[in-house]
Amino acid sequence: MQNILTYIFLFPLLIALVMLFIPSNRWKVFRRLSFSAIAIQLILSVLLAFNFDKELNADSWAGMFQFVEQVNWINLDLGTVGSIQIQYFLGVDGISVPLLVLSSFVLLIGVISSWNIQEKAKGYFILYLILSFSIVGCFIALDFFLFYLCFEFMLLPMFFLIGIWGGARRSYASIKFFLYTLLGSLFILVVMIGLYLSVVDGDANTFSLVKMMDGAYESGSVLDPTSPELIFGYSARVLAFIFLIIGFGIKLPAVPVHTWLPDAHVEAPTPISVVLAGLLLKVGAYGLLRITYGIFPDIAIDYAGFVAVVGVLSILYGGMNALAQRDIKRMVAYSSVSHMGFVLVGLASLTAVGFSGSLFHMVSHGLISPALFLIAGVIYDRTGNRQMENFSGLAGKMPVYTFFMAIFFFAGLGLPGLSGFVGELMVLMGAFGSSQFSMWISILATLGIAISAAYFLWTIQRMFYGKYFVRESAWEPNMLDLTAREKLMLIPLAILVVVLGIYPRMVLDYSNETIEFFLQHISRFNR
Amino acid sequence: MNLNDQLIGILNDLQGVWTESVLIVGAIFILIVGLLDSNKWLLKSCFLAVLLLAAYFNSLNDTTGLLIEKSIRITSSSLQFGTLFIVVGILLLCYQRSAKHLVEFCFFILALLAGSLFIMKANSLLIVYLSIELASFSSYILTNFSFKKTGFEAGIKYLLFGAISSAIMLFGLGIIYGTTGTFFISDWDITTFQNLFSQVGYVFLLLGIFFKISLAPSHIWVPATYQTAPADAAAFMSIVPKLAGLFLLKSLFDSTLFPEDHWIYSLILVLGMLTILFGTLGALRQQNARRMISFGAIAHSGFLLPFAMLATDLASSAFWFYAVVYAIMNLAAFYLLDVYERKDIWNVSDYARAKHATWVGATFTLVLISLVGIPPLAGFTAKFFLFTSLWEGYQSLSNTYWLWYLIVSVLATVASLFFYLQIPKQIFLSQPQDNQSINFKFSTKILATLFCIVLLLLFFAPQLVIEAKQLLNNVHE
Repeated sequence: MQNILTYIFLFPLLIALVMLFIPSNRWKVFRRLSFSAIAIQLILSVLLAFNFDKELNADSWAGMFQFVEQVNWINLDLGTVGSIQIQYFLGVDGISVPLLVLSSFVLLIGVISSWNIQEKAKGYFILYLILSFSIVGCFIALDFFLFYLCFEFMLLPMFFLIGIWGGARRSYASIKFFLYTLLGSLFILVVMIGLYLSVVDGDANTFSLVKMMDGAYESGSVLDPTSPELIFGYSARVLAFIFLIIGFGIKLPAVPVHTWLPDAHVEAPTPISVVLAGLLLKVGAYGLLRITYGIFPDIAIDYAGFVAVVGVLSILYGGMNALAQRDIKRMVAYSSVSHMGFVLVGLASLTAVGFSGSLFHMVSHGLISPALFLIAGVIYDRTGNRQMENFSGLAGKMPVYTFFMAIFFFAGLGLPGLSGFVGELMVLMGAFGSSQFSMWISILATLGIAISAAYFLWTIQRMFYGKYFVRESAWEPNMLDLTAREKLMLIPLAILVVVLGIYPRMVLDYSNETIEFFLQHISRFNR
Repeated sequence: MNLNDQLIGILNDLQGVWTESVLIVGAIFILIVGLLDSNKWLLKSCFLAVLLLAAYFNSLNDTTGLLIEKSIRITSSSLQFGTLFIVVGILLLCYQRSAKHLVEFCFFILALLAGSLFIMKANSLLIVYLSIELASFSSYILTNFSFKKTGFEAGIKYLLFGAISSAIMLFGLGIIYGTTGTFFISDWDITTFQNLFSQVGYVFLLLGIFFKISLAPSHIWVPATYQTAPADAAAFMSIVPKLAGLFLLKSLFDSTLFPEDHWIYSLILVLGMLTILFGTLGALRQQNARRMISFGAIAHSGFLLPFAMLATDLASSAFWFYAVVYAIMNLAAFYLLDVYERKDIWNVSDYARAKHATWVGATFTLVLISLVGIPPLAGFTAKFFLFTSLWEGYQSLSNTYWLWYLIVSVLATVASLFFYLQIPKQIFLSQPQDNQSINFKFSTKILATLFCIVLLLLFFAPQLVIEAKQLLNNVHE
């Protein structure tokens, strides 16, 4: 078990390096290597999850993390001001373990989904492995610099994965994605520097997230909660909080900074949409939970209403947009915006149920949205078209496909017994039980479920019910039911969605202690 | 003092300018060799030999302080930057260059290098003026070294602009001498510039320096110059005189001449922000790739400026780091631009034709991404130091302009991504119109890869640069 996190973290990168030296005409080697790399990553993370001590309880954040690895990485001696110390600092707690397992799992689905990529396969799989390295890194890094490195590291591979292997408007979409997320991450970078200069470990400044969450501020520094200093008339901590909300909000994405997402999702190839929806959005949500709420709980209390309003806005606006879409992939993309709004509402509630609900919703959406994109991809693979009005009555022609579609659409709209329901229910319970904001916000959020039911059911009605019809007769011979590879991807996802819907403790057992501690930590700031 | 002591004193003082003497004598030597035999490799090896000798003398120097009647001031960091400049000069040999006009090229590069070294070491205002002129005149001529009409235009523009700048600076020097009665920077202190008239003189002096570091409003000459000058000359001009000017600026600001809340700080910071804005916004609408990178280089002047204005240890180390990384990035960027231009790819849209040269395209992408400042490349660490220094400046000087500077730099970084990405976008994301394949030489690939490896390495181990600084310092102490 020693150094297991390092293996999980760096193994894909190692394989990517190996791939660099394999001649590019042997394209089958690359997918096999990627598959085995991610499969090993998944096995290791499941192993880690089994060995994780769920009952661990401590009185500071420093005690909450397990499998900790801490090595000095960059040590810059800068003369009299001391030094810049950056650590290679990994560790997991109850929040990151479910997300770690989820990411290895979704990444593996992504590899299977990329099985048929022949064009420039070498570049594709190298970029894919770099992407998986950085996604996993985000969930286990405990040094802010390392986290930021991973957070930014995914932009470049993503840019090329969308830009080279994407659809018709790929170059527009990939640049938009890159610009938006870079803007967001620079906001985070500014806060990171502020935190670095304010937080101390012993007598040296530190990037350690653990120290930051434990509040080891140097007295008199800018971000010290007791510091009276104002910037442009606001307390520095409030500004830092807002910056982080913007930064992670772009990644999440929250309305009104969500506009990169529909374009990126629609233009990305199916496997990349899967990873984008399943994991990249979760990185944003995880950043909000761990960094924004973990380090600025005092401001989070003051600004709970603001965050909740942004969340509700995302739920309603995303839902309304999904309702208006005619492209099925775009519809799914907007439904992601809507669903991520629930994460925000759950966080804003500042209750144990709301927090657990947010985390559970992250995991559940991390399973449902990849599946939805795979569903959309099935149609696109066969016809090269995704417009809903071009299809009707698919249920009769493709029954297995319709069956899986139904599971995931119903999971998406929150049918009891499936995982989507549990997450939304817990978030709403948290929201109604919260004293942080008015009940109207919770009521509006509930309305969001009705909207999601509307767009999912309407899509089913338009595409799957009625008389069988496809627009072009050339598509006719392609309209076959799911292949074995597609089933291989959808079956595990479906099983997990059902299992988590019936037995949510699979996730919640991991997170309970951590979230309980988290809320105790926050309640210290309650005035 | 007897004659003997005086002679020994003069000899000791001359140690301080041995490097420059070697460069100037070497330049003349190359001119003579060129008259006798214009073999390309002979000239190149002479050039290399002169630079190595200069580097040797630079490292041999163990005298610091004021020398030659106070007109030269040598610090360990000026020697350390001197080494960097000489190394940049040596790396120019990587660029492809035919035997035609090679002699003159070597001559002017060496003269420019000598001028830049003098700029850094100047303590007397006279030396400031003369060294800036020496560097400028070499640059004017190098601009025209492509021997095309456009190059001539750019050279004249540059010359006229430089003439005005130097006239203004001379005027400023006159005012400073008239009001303070001293020529020596080391004599100045916080009481020197108390009346407004002398402050005006100081601002005029700064304008002359700004011309060298291409800070707004003296940046207008840059795009045309960098675009038309030969790539190696453009790379050299964008690195060495600029850093030398910044170094001089830094030594002006290291001795506290003004109280912390003085308007002159705000003025310079505003000019720096304008530089970043002009550079970034200007680059957004360029068609020509070289011109676009040149605008990016203007923005980088703005990013480098804050280091010169902060007198902290962090800022000095960060300045050194940024300078080294900036030098590598610009050398690599101009090298790759040159490589593509030799395949007749000039405009950004032409890069679509180089679609099949994936490897060189990927290295170019990495270099450009490093210029934006995205991990895992050294450009990010440099930007990171910049933001840290700005934040520290805000904390220690409590002037909100520092905070605005931070905001402007952050936004400019995002905007710069947009234009730097245009080239990778054309290489990788576009549909090629014609299927002609462009192949690069193996040596080009190796060189481009080496540049990238260095940039990656310096991200993962930035301590190498800082340790190199300490190492160079130890040599001198």
